[in-house]
Amino acid sequence: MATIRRRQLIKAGLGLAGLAASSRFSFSLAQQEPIRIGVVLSYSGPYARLGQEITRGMELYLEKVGYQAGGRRIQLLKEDEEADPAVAVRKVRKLVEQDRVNLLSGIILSSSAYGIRDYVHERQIPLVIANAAANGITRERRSPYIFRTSISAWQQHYPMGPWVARNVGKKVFLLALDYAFGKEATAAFKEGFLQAGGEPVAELYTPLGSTDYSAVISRIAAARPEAVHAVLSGSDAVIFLRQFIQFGLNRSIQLAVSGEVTDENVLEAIGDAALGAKSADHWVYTLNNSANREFIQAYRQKFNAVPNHFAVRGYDAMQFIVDAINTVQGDLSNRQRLLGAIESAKIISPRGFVQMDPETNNVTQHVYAREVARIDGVLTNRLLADLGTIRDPGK
Amino acid sequence: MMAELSREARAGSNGRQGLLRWGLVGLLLLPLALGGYPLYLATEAALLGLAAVALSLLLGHGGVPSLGQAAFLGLGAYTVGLALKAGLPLGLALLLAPLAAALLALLTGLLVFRTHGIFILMLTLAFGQMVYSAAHKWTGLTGGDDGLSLSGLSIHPVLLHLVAVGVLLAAVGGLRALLQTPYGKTLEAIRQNEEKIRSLGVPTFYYKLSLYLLTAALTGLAGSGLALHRSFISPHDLFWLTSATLMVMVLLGGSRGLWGAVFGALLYTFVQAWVSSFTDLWGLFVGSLLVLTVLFAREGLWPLLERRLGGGRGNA
Amino acid sequence: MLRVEQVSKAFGGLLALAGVSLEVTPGERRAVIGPNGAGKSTLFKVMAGELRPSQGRVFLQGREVSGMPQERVARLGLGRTFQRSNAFPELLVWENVALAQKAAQGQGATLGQRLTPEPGVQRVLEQVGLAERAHVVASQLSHGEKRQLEIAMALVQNPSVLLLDEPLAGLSGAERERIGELILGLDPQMTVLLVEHDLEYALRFAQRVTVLHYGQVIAEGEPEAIRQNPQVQEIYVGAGWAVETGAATTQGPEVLRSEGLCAGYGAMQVLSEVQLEVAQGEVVALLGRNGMGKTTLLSALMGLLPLQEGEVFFLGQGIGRLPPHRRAALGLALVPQGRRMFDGLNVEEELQMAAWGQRGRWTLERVLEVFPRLAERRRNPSKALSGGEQQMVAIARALLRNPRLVLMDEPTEGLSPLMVRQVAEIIRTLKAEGETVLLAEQNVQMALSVADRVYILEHGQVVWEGRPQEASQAVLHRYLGV
Repeated sequence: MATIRRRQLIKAGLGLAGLAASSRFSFSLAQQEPIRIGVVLSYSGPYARLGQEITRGMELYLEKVGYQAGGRRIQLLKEDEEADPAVAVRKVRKLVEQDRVNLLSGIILSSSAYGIRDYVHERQIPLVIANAAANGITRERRSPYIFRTSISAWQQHYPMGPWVARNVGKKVFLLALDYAFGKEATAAFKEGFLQAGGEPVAELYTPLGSTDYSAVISRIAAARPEAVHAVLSGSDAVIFLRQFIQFGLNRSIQLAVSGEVTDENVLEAIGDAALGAKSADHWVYTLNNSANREFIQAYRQKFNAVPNHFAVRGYDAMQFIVDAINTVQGDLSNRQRLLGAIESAKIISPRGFVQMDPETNNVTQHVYAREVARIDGVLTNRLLADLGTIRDPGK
Repeated sequence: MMAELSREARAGSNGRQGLLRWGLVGLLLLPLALGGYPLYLATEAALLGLAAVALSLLLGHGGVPSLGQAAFLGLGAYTVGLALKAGLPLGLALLLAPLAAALLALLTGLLVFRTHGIFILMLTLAFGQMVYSAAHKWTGLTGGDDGLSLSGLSIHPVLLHLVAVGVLLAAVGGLRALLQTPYGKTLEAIRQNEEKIRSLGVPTFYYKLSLYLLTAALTGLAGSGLALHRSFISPHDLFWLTSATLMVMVLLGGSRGLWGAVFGALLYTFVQAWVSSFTDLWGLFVGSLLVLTVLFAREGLWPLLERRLGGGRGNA
Repeated sequence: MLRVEQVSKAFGGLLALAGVSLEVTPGERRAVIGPNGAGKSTLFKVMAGELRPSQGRVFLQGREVSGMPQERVARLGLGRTFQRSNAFPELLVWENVALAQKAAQGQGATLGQRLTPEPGVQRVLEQVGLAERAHVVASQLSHGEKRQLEIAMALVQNPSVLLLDEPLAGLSGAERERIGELILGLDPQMTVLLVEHDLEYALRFAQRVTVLHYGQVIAEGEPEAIRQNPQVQEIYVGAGWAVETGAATTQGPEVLRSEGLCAGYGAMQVLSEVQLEVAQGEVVALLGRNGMGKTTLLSALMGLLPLQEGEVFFLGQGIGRLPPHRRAALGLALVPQGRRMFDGLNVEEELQMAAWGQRGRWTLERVLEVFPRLAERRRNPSKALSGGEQQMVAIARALLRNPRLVLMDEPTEGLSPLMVRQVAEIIRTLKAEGETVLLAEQNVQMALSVADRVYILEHGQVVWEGRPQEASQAVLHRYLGV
């Protein structure tokens, strides 16, 4: 802990120095080229909201450090992923070949991550993934140039299995969207759940973008589980939760879901009816650490809204990058040193202590059990239990 | 009298129109000098252009409104990808792609051409989405959402671009010649008045089906090129939005004469790439461009250019 | 050459052909005539394979062709032209003809060489008089030239049997002359069947004539015999109508007047310089053969068709540029051809709908009083009524709008002679009630018996006007083919 505090102090000091430099010695600074970070996120299409939140988090952190790292200015170049991996490939090539970026970050879709993987690997451009969750990105398809500072599907859902079996119920209905993330998340949950003696009563995958969940809900009602583990996001989560409550299932069946389902943006659309729903995630609004308090305050002040885990992911992606640039003192010419700096980075995040795992290039972090609650008038999640420090096994 | 007549028929393009076409070819080849990202975009445009040319032939000349072209594009891409994964040589893989697409066209075409007009649109859309679903669900084969990476395959971008542009120009030239044959003229006649040409003794079903097969094969070839170009295939290439994008390219450039489709693909690819770097509302921009085109240059932008710069009527 | 055996064709409940048989020998010229809706076009479509007969068989050169798709029948040597000329508008004239030739040779799918104007194409274009227009885009041809092209496309196929479906319909005088001569001059080896409304021309063309009525062959024979056949005369003319010879009723004030009215469809002019007047309380008949512009004139008066030139005055006010609903509000009512009953409504509901929001001399009660037949049927679905009763409903609907002038478009179309009498009675009733009527009619005798004054239209022009009793046999024969 002591080392970390020291690191923070150094960082703050550097930040101050940078601020001073930017105001008084702007001439000398201007001679040094800024560090260019290419960010590819969906700003249009179904994942636009995610892209927006992640960008907010990134900018929030960069503002905090005055857009400075290792004595150099930082410049973000944002490109729209358009929820299409082919576009992600194109945009990454543009950022690398035309804009000559030093690092890449962002990436909402796992398919985009897979799509750009070979190019990034061959070009040896460091990429810090801020969202895409497919396990394979840091397992069989991992690359020394690709890091993930968000979370893998396995990491987020595996620890929830035993916790649900012990604290919620042994009979659980498994529901997920019919795509790669839904399947990986459900498999991870099931793995832990079965180990702890749980019994899945049914497993159901529904197509993305459904506007009616009544058929799904009647199947849940007929299966009479103690709880539902749902992996849904965006409008699917909103519609499912709304109908689940309308049909009155929340009175007899508990919700123990993926963190995406009770994301603060989703709760905003549902209201108090979702109170009490449990979920697993790597960040909780009520986490009592100074970094989280600082993050929430800054976010609320700047955007006048409640942050969610996507904003945290953006915030931390930049924190890792800035941390590594500081370690190499702004000298990116030696790529191996930069990669080494990211591999060994440890940060104090709003989600607690987060550390890069040099073996998988995926972060090791705490995962929490949470519950929807209204806190100081804010509809969000509160901490129920710390499920421990979770490391993705990498295979 | 007759000799004069056929001479006039042959004199399709005057000099200035030819110049305009050379200009377009120049635009396609210019990025070779720039390399890097512009070259990447240009290859993408040339390959999408090939698919757009096929759609243009189908829609503008055959009168078949297809919203299912993405199925052929994606099938071509997956065929080449899976064939390479299975260890087949590249040449064979590139041959299989159009064949697979044509086979799919044969199976669906037998049903599609029992209907007309808007129903063709619906059926092609439905078949396209079925293929999309299959690619999406059959994770074992296609990798599902995560897509299919063609790692370890490296074709020099300059070579790939030259081949793509070469195939595109050969397709445009060949198909334009085809349109002058009795077969091509019969296709035009079917679009203009199917009852009449049937009453003259032409079994239109087979003409439309053969055209559908031909365009599907070309689209499949374009898809296989895209797979090599991006080294990655995702089910998104099979989604109906990809079909719609091809349709927009064709309508922007002009659905008749085939050059318009090439121009539309080039314009769309570069404008979209350029505008989307400035604003997330790029869709609005492209949409407005399409609306303006439909309102003020109904035949498309290429015929407009031909009239303004080429000083003559667009030769279809 | 061509044999039709007991062919029936039903569309839903309507029997368009009821057991038609006919046989045409090689090289024969055959005309098929009959009033509107007799089934002539349906018969052609069945012969050509466009429609599949419900019953019966068609043989072409001894081979059964019924049930074959039309492209196969065409390849077996049956050529045809359509009622509405329709070539391939974006192709050049010679390309149209060359494609027809390739299709007949079964070489439509040739890929090896370009489509070229071969000598056969040129010959046919010269034969029909289109050689000068060979390089023009087909859509730019005039109406008559399109017909010539249509015929050229059929001829270049060198068919053994040629079906011509109303080749003269809608053509103006000079074009009519040209196409008429062209058809008369066709290769005598070729077997030609003609459907034509111009009775005079049909009888001149044909060696034998088949008369269709209600989907049945009611007469067949040589032209002169057909002309004399009383049954045919009854169908075409209607027999036993007395023309009132009483003194002319004193003319009331003018209700409607058209001046120099020209109108048509698109660029095609159908009506030219029509002068017409209707006075209060008059029944004015508008006569003319099919396709002479009667319906077009009523449409133009009602505003369904824009005027190309001229003006229409209604109650002294110029209404030539007003939209139809404004003209209706001023007091013009049209009883359209074909009656058009609503599905699922009964008689009373039909009338209530028409009467809604109206106030005036005609009320629902008054209508039912004047048409006691409708009062009896008020609960019956309107679609189940007989043709004459439906016509009654259609007229009653118009009256309930309390019009100043009723325009009637062929109210007797497709009705049996008995029903025609009913309609005549209705018109007399209206006249007695003081209504003003402009009646477009094909049934000459009926119209003459109810009208106060008559206009005769030919090729879109008024060629005769006067009182019914002044219409001599010579006039009627000359303009109406009676």
